[in-house]
Amino acid sequence: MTKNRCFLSKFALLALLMIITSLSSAFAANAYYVVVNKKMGISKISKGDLKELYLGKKKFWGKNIRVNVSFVNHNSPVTKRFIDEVVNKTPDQFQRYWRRKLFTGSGLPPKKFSSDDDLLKYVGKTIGAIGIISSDKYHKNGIRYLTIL
Amino acid sequence: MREIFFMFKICKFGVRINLLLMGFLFVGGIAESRANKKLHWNGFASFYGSDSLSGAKLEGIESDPNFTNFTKVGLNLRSDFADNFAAIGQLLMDGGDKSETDRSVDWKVKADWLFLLYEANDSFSLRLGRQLFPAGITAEYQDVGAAYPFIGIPIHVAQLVPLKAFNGISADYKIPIGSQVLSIRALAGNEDKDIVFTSGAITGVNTNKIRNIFGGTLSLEGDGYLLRGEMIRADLTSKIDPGVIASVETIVSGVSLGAKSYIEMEVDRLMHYSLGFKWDKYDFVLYTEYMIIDGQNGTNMAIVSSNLIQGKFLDKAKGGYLVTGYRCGDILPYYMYSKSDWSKSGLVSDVHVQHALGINYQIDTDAIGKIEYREGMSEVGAGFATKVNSKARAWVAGVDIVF
Repeated sequence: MTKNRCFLSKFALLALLMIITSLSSAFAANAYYVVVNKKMGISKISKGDLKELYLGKKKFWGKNIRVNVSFVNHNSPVTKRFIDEVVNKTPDQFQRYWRRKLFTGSGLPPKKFSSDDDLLKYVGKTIGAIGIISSDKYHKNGIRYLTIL
Repeated sequence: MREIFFMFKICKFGVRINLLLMGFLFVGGIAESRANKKLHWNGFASFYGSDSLSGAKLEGIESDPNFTNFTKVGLNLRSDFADNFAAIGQLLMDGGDKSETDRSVDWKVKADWLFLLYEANDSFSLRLGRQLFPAGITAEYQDVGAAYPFIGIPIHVAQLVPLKAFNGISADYKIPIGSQVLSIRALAGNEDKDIVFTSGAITGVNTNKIRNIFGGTLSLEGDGYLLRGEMIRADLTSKIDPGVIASVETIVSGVSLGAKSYIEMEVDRLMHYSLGFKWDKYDFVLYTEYMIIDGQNGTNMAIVSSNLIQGKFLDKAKGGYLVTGYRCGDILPYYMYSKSDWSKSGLVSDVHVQHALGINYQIDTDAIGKIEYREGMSEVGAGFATKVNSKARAWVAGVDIVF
């Protein structure tokens, strides 16, 4: 009886560990990283600033350099997670928000790319560009990873 | 810069639209080569059908199926030719004017608005050129059906806004207050386009223009909500025909017509107020707005039209709407109530009430289907004549897309 109980509790612990591991790996798979054009000379950014950038409320770096925001298209899990966690909107709300801004001439929505590679090329060659990607393993010229505060 | 001023000149004088497009592309080309920026374009379209279910006409919806009333196609163009400057405009082709007195279907491409935007920093910006008259929450994206959940603001309420766009300047200043943003906007300008009044033409009075527009808006925007107020004043001027000039000359001492075949005079001073609130969060949707248009001084107009009440062209008209709905996944059922009261205006004596039940269905990221059942009641009279009550029912259905 005691042996059985011990076996059951070990089994439950193992199942719990497996669930936690799979959840954390799923979370890690959807982790987002912020890259910026190296010439911007910054190394960290707050979540509040990121939200303002992706909602078009903050349009300039410093005094005169126009911000060019970008991400890998709306439906990618990384972008979805970023919009949810940082911008605090659902993808549909985000889409509607930008549609209104776009058609009133109040701003341009984030530029969409089909892959991290395309986004990195754009950020690397565009002054003022910032982007959201799914990996911190890229080492390309002209880009810098930002620490999110 | 010369090319930009050229574009505005084109817009102002209504010269052919292809020149306007060429201007845009030219500026776009300059932008691309000089600043590595591009000409951005985005389109929108609404394709709708409508039919009266009761046989009676409801805001232009007649007993025969109609596919032009709410149908439109537009193109939004933007050229960022420097970090702080952009030229932004909209071309629009639609099936009819929003006023019932001018529902001619021409399908001509019009330069709806076109302005030069200067953004000094994150807080301050200036717009110069033809821009949309900011009277109402949806005023600045009213043609983009995909930008709001319902099919449109009912005509009897929309007519409380005397003009769609104006030529002039506006300045925006934004002040962050915690997670909210307070925006203050001041504007000044004129409208050169002839204003058509819902009450119909007055004999001998035509080419009504709105001049000396001054005013502003104040809005507080937070995460998923917007509270907005507006107050704008303007002068209404009209050209008086030769037929009534003689009497004007007799009555108004000191009016000298000389060789002119008409006289342009200020006939009324308009005040326009609106207060609106929008909520779109936690799947609950609410749009509501109340508007007042008030004629302040119609003394001169009283000279040429004896039909006026209290000597004013437009005394006071008011109205509003409320839309409420709940998002259930891709489906948003909604209800709209609207009422306008023109009973104190000079030439008409109408009270309109409309109920609408609708469903909005998100077909795709860029396409929304909408169907609406409308029931309208009107109490219409002219001057002291007996008022007539009428009821009408109609449906409207279609799709809004962006591309």
